[in-house]
Amino acid sequence: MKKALDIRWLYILLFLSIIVPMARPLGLPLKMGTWTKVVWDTLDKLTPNDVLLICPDFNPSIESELGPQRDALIYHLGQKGVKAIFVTFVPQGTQQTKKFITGLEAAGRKYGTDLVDLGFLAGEETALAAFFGDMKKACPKDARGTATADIPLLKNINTARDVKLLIHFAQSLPGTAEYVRQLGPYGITFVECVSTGAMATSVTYVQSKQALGLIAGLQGAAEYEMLNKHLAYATTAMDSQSLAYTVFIGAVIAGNVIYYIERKRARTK
Amino acid sequence: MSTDLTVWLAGILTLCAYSFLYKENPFYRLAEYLLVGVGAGYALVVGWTNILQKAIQPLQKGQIAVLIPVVLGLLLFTRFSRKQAWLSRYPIALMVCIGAAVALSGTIKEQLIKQIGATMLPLNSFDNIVFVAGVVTVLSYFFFTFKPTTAIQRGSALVGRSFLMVAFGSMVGSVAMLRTSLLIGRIDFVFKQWFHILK
Amino acid sequence: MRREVPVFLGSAAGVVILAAYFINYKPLATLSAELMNWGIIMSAFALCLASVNLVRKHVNQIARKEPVAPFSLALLIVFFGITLAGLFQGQNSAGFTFFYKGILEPVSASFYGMLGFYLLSAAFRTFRARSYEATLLLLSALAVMLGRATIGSLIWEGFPGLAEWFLGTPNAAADRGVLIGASLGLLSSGVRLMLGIDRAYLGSEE
Repeated sequence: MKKALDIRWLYILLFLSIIVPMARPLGLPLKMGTWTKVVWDTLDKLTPNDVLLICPDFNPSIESELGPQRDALIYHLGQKGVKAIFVTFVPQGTQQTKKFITGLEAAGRKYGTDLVDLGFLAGEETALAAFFGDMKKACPKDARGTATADIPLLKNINTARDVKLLIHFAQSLPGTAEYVRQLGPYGITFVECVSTGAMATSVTYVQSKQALGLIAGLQGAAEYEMLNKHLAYATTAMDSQSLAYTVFIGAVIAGNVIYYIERKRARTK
Repeated sequence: MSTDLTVWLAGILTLCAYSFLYKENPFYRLAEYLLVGVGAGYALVVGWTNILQKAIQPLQKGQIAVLIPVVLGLLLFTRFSRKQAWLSRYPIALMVCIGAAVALSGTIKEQLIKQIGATMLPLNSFDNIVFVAGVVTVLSYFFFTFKPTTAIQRGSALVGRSFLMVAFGSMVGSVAMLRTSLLIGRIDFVFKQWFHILK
Repeated sequence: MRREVPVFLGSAAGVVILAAYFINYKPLATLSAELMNWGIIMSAFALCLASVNLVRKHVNQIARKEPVAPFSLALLIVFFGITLAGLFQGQNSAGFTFFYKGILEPVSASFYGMLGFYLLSAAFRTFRARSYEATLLLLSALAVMLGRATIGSLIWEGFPGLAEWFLGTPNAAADRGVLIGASLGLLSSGVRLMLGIDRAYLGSEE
């Protein structure tokens, strides 16, 4: 029975489970998770004088999961009017920073006084340690070529201790573990935005209170959009995601049922 | 349909990549090679920008000390010569040992002491008991100094293995969910942003 | 001496950085920061080295007229295209953005998403509850997926809470056990590197 089924039928089923809800939304309810709520509540308490450090360490391969989180955060942070310093430790993170800055500038933030892009730093954890210890030495110029000593936003910002909060988008290296190791001496609050795949391993840092909270995957982005009361891509994708997971679950159950039936038949013979 | 050339190129290459689901073919291979080429070019641009800002420009301003890492960095390129490749050991040894020291410095406090400290929970709730039991039994499973002989040792290793299976199951489920979300993003791009079939 | 001197210098640099972390002494902290700065500069050179090595490999493939030569040519065309656009016009230029949005973004996202199909195939063909451990693994995976899928809360409203419990308690406990074990391993391998006992990163004996 298993051998008679061409696996490409399953691929078609998966494809249909994604595309049908896109054409005809099902409106399935979304339940709020505790981790996202903690992050939202913390960011909602920020004031316009607070300076954040945002590290979008992800590349476009994971755009579908971390991109909606980024957009939801842009909306929320744009409303709060906070100041932000951007730096990334993965090469393709520079494009994510540009999207952040474009979004926040559209919300009325000004580059130089409210936003700064410090570009990319090579060296992964070594770069992290150097940057958190002395930001201006690690980045003598910003991504636009201006000396960091001359940027108004960075006037009183020298180490990681001088920022209110760090938001990290994690994909591979440097990941949550590296940030936890290097942020330890500075004692600043730290929020993780991770993919669904990294969620399982990042939770331990939330339990130990080394990370304040977690926005996990596309569902985390949808939960954040709900809290923002500004529904966007992540919310619309929830129905497709739900049906696609159902196909996976069905495939696992069906595969096991077929396995046990065939095993029973083999034993009877 | 979109009239943006970039969207068309992105859409065509998306279909080229997914053609692998049918079987390996030259279109898939082309998409693969283009990705590698653009990725390498991107890395070179950002790497060079780093060298310019952190090495070349300080050197031009008279900071002679920066010459040392610049020379060490250039020594990496001796790897292309069989006779001179031994010179690349200097920058490699420095990078590896600096990286190891940076990782080590944070490990003791942040990944050992604080993690162990966070495990010291009062055993006054089911969750806390499960959590502490989980950490202790998983650690006992990885204790290979001597073979578990008593029933308690073997039982502890079995319970630890069970917790590990729960963790691996969570990881497997999480990875399956991740890939599905990424697939949704691609399908959304093709049907909404490229073909404009769906809204 | 060709292996001993680099190992000694590396170990010395590592010891300075470790010492600066634990000892509050300004000259040591300054030297440590300088060494980390060197690490950043050398890593930037390493990034460029990787790209140059790639170009070298594909130029050789074209010169030797290997079957993949046409693909190598396409690779080099886009490589030089994005490099020249980025270096001479800047990373915000139309040319650089074209290569990024037209090739890098869609293809890398497509490759990552494609694994969804293969995972589905694996889920159907190989995820079998053949033993106690495999059954636990499967049940945990199913619980997490049902909890994260909005359809799970329609089947039973407790699934989201159960998934969060699975992730936050037994999964986090096991991950912590693994993390503590891995950290002890990292400590021992780090000390071996600092003492020059582990020299595998230096390559062959020549």
